[in-house]
Amino acid sequence: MSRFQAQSNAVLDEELDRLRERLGLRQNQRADLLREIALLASWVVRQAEAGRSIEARRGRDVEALESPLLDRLRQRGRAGIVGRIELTDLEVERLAEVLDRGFSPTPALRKVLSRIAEPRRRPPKLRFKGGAA
Amino acid sequence: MLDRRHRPLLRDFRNQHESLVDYLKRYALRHPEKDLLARTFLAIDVSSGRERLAGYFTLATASVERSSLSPIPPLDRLPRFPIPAVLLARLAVDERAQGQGLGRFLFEEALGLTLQLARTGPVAFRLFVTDAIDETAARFYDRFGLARLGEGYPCRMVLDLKPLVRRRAPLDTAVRSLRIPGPKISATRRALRAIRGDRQATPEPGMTSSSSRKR
Repeated sequence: MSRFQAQSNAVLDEELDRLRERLGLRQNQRADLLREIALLASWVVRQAEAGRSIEARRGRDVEALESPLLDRLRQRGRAGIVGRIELTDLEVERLAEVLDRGFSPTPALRKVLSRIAEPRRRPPKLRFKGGAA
Repeated sequence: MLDRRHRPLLRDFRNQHESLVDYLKRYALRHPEKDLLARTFLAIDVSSGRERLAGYFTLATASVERSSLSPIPPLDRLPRFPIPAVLLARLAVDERAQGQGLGRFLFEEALGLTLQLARTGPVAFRLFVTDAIDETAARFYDRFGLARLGEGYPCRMVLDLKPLVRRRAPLDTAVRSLRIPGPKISATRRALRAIRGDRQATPEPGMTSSSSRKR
């Protein structure tokens, strides 16, 4: 273990001990402390992932939680391109219904499909409302 | 397809949803070039004698997964998770050009490119997914048969691509044309090239594809 790491660990241990005391936990409840911290941290991360900022408010006093890591998560949330789409159980059930339905395209979808296959298809002629920008 | 030459056009784009403008200005160029996350396709209007960005859409690949591991009874009907999908990540029309059919045209292009990829590309996709930003957008996608999976907004909506790309699709003019290789497929490709920006495609007077613009 490097000297820096040893020092960091000591500082971290001290910090955790102080936190344990403030939360009214006993010395043998370190695992409980870590579990609570993990719960709180995952809530914070979830909010940041959803693009939300976290603020402490009391009257007019507002203090924002600032962290470069959370900023990065929020940025990723704002960019909004997801490679992974997670469905809830309800959404999965609805998806099962959709896939079970068979092929019954709406009239608009039929039109879209026939237009896609149309070689002379052209974009609509446009008129910008409100004149030149 | 959007590239650096289009940067000046992006500044003037207006839409009632700030996130759609923000995406275009901040991420649309970065995603295909740096992050390799998504590609954006533009519709550029030249009817006023100068080029104006009238609308855009962004496509990305996605993997549809379950957030919980608990078993669900009707799971047998589903393909195995994760399900490969094409995500229509953004579709927007400049607010000054709305109500003239450009949104529908962009949707056709997005679905056309997706079907082409799902049909003849090197990988397979089962779903076409989008997140409708509000009720107006959800109603727009409802018309094209996308099913709502959620209640709130943005509302996740899906279209099953399987019947549209499989070999023995029900007899339907459009589906049949998409299935048959040869002249009809070539015709489809020619139509799709119009927005992708092939120089040989003849753009409509008043509209141009992104790469046929003058340098």
